[in-house]
Amino acid sequence: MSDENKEKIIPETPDNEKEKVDGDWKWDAAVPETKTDDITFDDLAPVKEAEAEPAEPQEEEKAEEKPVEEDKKEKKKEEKEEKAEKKADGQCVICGNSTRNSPSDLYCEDCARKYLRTHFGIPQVILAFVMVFFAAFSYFVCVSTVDFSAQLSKIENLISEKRYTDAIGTAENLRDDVATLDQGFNATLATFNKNQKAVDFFVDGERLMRLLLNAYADSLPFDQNQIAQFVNVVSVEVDKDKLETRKYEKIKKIYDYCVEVNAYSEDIGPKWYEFMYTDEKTSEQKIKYDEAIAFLETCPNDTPAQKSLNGYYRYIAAYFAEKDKTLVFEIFDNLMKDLGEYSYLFDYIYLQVAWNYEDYERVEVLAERLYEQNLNATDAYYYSIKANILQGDFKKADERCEKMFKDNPEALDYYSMKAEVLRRMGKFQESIDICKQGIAVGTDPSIYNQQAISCMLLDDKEGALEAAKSAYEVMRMNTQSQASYEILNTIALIAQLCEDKETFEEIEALFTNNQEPTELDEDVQKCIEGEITFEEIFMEGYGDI
Amino acid sequence: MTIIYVISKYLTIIGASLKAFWEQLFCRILQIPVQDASYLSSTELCGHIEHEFTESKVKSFLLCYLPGAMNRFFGYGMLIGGYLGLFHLEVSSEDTIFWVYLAMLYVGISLMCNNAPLYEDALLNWDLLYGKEQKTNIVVKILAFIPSVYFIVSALMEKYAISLLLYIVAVLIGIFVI
Repeated sequence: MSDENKEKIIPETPDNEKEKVDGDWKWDAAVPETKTDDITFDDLAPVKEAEAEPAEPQEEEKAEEKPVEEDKKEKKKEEKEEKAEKKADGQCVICGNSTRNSPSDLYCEDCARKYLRTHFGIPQVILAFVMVFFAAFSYFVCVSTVDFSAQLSKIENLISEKRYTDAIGTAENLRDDVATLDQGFNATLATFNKNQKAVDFFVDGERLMRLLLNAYADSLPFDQNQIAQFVNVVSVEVDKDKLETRKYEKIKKIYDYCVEVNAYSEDIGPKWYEFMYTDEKTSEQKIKYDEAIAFLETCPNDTPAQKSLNGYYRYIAAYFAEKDKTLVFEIFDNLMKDLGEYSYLFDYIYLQVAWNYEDYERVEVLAERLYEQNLNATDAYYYSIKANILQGDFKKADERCEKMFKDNPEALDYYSMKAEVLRRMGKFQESIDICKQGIAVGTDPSIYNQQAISCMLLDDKEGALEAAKSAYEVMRMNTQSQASYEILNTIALIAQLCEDKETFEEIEALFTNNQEPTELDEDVQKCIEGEITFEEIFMEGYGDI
Repeated sequence: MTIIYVISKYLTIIGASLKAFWEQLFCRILQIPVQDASYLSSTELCGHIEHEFTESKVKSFLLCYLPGAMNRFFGYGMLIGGYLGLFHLEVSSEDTIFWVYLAMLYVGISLMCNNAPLYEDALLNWDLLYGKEQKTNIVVKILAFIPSVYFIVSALMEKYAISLLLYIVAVLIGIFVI
């Protein structure tokens, strides 16, 4: 105990015992459980003497140890008893004065003031309030931050597993969550101050943007619109200094490539399009092939960007000049070889070209390469499954469906593809069953469409019409449906065959009242006129409209 | 070493003050006499209050445990939130929340650097529970073992400012590695 405290306690000692107090007070005895009211110098003297005396032989010490220990125990016992008595008598355990009002109190008013400091000052009160407010706010921020971080980790995992579409979907969810939180925060602020401007307090951070850009960079197709969009996003969202750092290495590489593609395209594009013309007789786009190729020969072909655009223009020239598919594939094969690490940019376009030229073996190879790079590349599965069906290899098509489901458990495309494969195998009831499973998971017009076709093939016209109407309803709700042309034609055909004129006319009107009026598909018209059967459309060839 | 200790306490002044505040509060609740309630003295007691030793095992254990637990209760949330916000989400300094995360990280580290009892209190607690002459129930001994070791180790780490050093290293990892 400090001297200051010793001085403080002296005036509190009862007056009748003041003369007994001096500088040799054994302050350690002033602990609550020690009897202190009758300590005298005589009590303290033997202790001092014992300390001063030289050490005696060990045997004697051992002989005296037991009685000393017993004495101590007895003293302790006595102290406890005395303390208990004092407590019962309402005496302070330190000075022996009467205790405070509460029977559970061990101390008198003076000793309590000295030892049990309860007077928290204004600073402590302010500290407590600030801490409680800050802690509550921090926990709110912490919970949301942990949630964002968990989603961010999920996105990182998806990207490392090459599930880019899922990663982008999760990132959009995360951004929605951040926006919702900001709305709540601003609404709370508005309750205090109605003129408060909306602030973006919660943000998703730079890491999310970097991950998204990485995902885009890894799955970017050679499409000039998408390339321009990528360049725009990077230049707006990322500082130039940051782009030079290690974290942005891959993004910068693709960004530089895209910038060069854009610049090179602006350089040679105007001259290139001079070789294109419209044939007056057929109104088809044509190209002066030899001149175009001669022009490309004069263009630089050193960097990946130049090689990419030159190769792409060569393909366009071959396509419009209706050259043989061997030449087209040769252009792409050479291009892929030249581009090396950038070749993945052309995978998707090459796949579509192979599909258009009906080289199904090539489609399979390219599709496999594409979904090795991006497990979410459902288009690649679609083309390869279709290729298997057209080759008559239903077993392989079925295997691919299962792989598609394994890699994309949440993709609804699996159900419509699997249903189509089962239908082509003649397993109509199983096809309907898988459609029902898909409908239970999510809403997709393609699934209803497959169900309607299988029902028709089973001669269940009522079920077919119901499924077709459902597909139409879902399509009307979702205007962005990609399979609209094919599905609308199928619904119209089924409606007509099931004698539902109202639905048929409604869909027919959609085609004729369009900005660019069209008619129903040729196969549909033939089937209605009885030139071909429903089975011939859906069980042979492409197996759809 | 006292200078290092005192410096570390002043660097984490919020946690140090709050720890002493909790100690004072729990001394009051546990009816342990307080001798010196100055929170930030320039001695080994900086960030603690001086109180009487207690002969009660329960009181000694609770006095070691509760003030630190309060700091940990508030500290974990702030530390995790601030660290994730700054180094995982990587919010920009142009955003308002960057400064909130920074404050949370500082206060969080400050609180977590002050969650250990005074070294003497930790030793007393050990002596009362595991001392030769103490007759402590074996179940209590087992249950209190890990916390009691934690009290001593964390008190030692705070005594030599090692805990602050570890948090500084963690922040540096966040800045340069993550």
